[in-house]
Amino acid sequence: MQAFDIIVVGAGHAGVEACLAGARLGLKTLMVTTNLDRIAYMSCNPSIGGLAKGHMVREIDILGGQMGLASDASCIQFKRLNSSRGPAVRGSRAQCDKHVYSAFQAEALKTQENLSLLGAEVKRLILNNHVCEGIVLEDGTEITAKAVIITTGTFMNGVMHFGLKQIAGGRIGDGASVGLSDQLAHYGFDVRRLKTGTPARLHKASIDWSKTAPQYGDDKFYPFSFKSKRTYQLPQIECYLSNTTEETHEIIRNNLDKSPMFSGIIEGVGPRYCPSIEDKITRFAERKTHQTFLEPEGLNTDLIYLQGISTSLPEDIQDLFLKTIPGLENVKVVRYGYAVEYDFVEPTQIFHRLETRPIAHLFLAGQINGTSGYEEAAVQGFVAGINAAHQILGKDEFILDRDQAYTGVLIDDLVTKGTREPYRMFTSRAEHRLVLREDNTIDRLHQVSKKLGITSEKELDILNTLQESRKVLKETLAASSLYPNPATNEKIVALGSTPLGKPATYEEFLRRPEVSFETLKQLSFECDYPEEVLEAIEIDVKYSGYIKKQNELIAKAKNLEQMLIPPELVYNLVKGLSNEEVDKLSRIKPRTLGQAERISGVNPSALQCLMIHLKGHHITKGSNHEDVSRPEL
Amino acid sequence: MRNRGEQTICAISTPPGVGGVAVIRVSGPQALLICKKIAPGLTQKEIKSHQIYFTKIKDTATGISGGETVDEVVVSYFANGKSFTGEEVVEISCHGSEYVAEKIVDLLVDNGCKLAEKGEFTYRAFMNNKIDLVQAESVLSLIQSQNQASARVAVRQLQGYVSKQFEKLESDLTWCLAHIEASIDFSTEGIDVVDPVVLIQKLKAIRVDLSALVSSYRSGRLVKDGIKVVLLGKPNVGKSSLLNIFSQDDKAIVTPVAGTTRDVIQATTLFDGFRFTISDTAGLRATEDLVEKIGVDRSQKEAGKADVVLYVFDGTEPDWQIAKTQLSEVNSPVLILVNKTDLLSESQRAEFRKKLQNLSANYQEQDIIFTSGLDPKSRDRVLTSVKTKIGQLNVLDEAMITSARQYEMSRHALEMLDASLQELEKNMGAEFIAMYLKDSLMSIQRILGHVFDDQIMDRVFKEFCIGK
Repeated sequence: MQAFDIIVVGAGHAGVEACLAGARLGLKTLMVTTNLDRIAYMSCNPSIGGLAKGHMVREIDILGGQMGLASDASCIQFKRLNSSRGPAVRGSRAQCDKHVYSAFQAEALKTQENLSLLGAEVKRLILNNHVCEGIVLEDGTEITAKAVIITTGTFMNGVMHFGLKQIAGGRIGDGASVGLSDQLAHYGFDVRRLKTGTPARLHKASIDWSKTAPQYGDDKFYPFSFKSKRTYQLPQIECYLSNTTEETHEIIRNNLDKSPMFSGIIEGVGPRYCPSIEDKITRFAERKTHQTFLEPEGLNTDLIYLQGISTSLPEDIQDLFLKTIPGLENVKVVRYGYAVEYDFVEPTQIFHRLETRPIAHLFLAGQINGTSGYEEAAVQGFVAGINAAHQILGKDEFILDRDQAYTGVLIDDLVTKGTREPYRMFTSRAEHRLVLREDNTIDRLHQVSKKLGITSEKELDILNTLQESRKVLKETLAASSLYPNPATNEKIVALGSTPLGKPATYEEFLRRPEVSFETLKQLSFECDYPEEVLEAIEIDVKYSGYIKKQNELIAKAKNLEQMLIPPELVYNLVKGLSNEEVDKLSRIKPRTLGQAERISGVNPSALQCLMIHLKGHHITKGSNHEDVSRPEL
Repeated sequence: MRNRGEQTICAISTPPGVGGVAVIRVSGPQALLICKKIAPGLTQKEIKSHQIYFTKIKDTATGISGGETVDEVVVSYFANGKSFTGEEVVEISCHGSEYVAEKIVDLLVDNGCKLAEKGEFTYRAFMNNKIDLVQAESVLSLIQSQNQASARVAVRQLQGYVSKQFEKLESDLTWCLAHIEASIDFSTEGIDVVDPVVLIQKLKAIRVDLSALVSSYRSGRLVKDGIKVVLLGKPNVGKSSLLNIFSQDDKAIVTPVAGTTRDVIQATTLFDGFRFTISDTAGLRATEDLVEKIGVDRSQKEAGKADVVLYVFDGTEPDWQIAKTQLSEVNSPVLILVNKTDLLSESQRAEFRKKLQNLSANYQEQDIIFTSGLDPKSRDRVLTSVKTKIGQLNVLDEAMITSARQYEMSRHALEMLDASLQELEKNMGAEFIAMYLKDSLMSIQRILGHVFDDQIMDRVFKEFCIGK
């Protein structure tokens, strides 16, 4: 079959971003998926974003990613989480109509230049001496490519558990993909098992809504994409809150032996942060109730997603305990909850650019790297797509730094520390949290986007205009002043602040906690800027002291981040490293001393040895990281 | 186990010069192997850890069969993992001739040892996780200790007493930080991770521990470096005679001529377990003499560094006017010495006290001491008062920090802890509290060497000398 530049295996959230990024950079790209009807399907919760996750969606949006647009187009309830807290820990979350979401992404793929779609199962890779050269389909067809990106999610050797009953498959209604992971294991990859789960879907009409509390979305919409309209595109709906009862817990507790997790059938490690209801009840034994949100899966569907109650108990037990939740006394289950167990590749085996270490031109993105969540998958897909393209085009690898983007934190964590459970992004994973905010994404990534070249000139103009108005607004604030005359002071007091003792610039005045741009407007300050500009600058001004402090800490840490370790360094020759450290360092091959420091089990004294070694060997600044030595099979 | 040091190092660990014995320390994977080459007698024996062996050091380079005997020595052996450095260590105690000790080192080097660098033994102990940085610093303090108090403090540090306090701070701060982080990331899950009241209590408790350590530095420094006392006053009031009495030495030249002392003269003395450094200074007066002028400037500078200033009056002809001006320029704690008073009656003394207290209400009865350059008892009375003036130096019961590095970092940790408490009280977001708290925690971890700090080498090990 005809050759492609890039082949993307899988059409989930990672796959969509990967193939769009490749095609948008002008490379001839093929997406292969077993089920063309389920492109960018939301297999679990019908929502995008949340703390730290919302940040990542905005990051790739500015860089030319797709997820933000689809979320905005399908959003049926929007909330800004933690809106009363500090600016760095606010996160946008959109509940989406999952069918609109899928359809939007499918349309984007179908209309994308340079991109072809193929419904087929990939059986194995064409490998030639540790270089990936294409794929082989189930029917034996070979398709060659310069790079292959695998984004198979939970499908590699996927097994679904309904109680003690097991069915092969990565998602209800779809089969598992068998063969690929065996081939990877054969090539020396460390392939392990993880587990995730999903709750039951309920029939809307069977729920007594009067026993639940409605939850409303925000009036104000902050779309994920800078390209989206500032208004809701679909009608907005309510979600409903209910909770488990002691009776629920009793039933679950009595039937734990029928749960595959607890009976030992599942060997994969489940996510600590998104635990099943069985886990929650066991781990938080003292809690008498757990909250659950009843979330419609779309505008034109009768399906209700039961957030927080993922389970792998048998169907009859699910029926039993669900009925003890207020509002669900007569509930009809359309689809029962289940657990999925699947293969993932220990992610310390990939480079920051998401190419694998053992096999060249092979990239991995998404759950196959041990992550959990649509957003985590999407940003990896995007980064893998760019890097595959850059490799083919002979351009530099594309790596975001930890102080630049959550996306950078995610990938650095994966390739440095690996993971033993599904990795979910948190704000606490970013040591530079205060400078990684949703509102300053544009500051962080505008220039990167320009360089990447996916974002069109017209779109870049929007970013330029936004950047420019931020600059102008900031300068105006610093340049003009308020004077303590009686008339002004009277107004200031009337607006709820304290009188000025001496002249103050608007910037200084805005630092007062009780003052906002609304106040400034009343004091005849020209505030004719987009709301997001005003908000970002207000945060900039109000928190400048903290941000400055954080920047100092970053500068301190940068020393180590800038000390590059040559990829060809033979750790056995570094005096004083323990065997374990030599082992870990040789496997992970940290790019910098900073990354080496983050590897667990590498002691401070090992860094001392490394530094002495590097100083004696003239560290090269700015070396590229092409790893030439691959193990012989 | 593979050690940090791959090469075997050696050095003479006793001070240079002639002594009863000299000790040569050998550390590294080949310590015993190399020693066996220069002490062939050892190969006949089964060598066990923590045992000593009598043997002969042989120089095989000489033509004599079996080598010429260099010395009869005692060898102590410490197995890998069971020594101070964490490596295999051999210590050779030879006769205290400089030649013999150096000859043995030469033989060791000829057989594959590397000469140790400054502080390399202690550095290896740190690198092999045998001690933390606080303990490494205590090794130096212990070596340098010149009095009972500072030796006692250093030994306690070496035993990990201070490290334990820092480790407790590290674990308490980590607990708080972990809970704050979780409260941010699980804020939407309807779980109360930590009660703010509990958090504040915990942080305040940490503050108490940390500030105790920070303030212990004052005592710690006095214990380690000694108490700095500066004699100040008009020319010819008898400062130099007092220096000689206090130091029990004739360091300062004493003449009846005013302005004899032109430069700062220092003497040290041990008293009551503490070391005192006493400085005699040029008498303070307006002068046209260039040399004396420089001397007067130096006097004032010296007084600025003092833990206690002893301001000396001539009891027979006090100059109140000048005293008032000069005392107003001193910022350190002051004791008033009224000198040449062997002839003053009790009523004259009372009057003197009254006049002094008119000068400033700061001077309490116990701050005024009547001395005489002829009376040796003045020494005890003055030095006891100096100690009282400095306040309680509780060497035994408290963990005490004695290194400037530990002090700076603890103080930074305290400042950051205070900043986070302030944010908490201002009701600022958890992420701001977390930022300061993390900085505080990092500072504590740097003290212990639990996080990498590229200045460790410069700051901790450069002061050592070879063989330690």
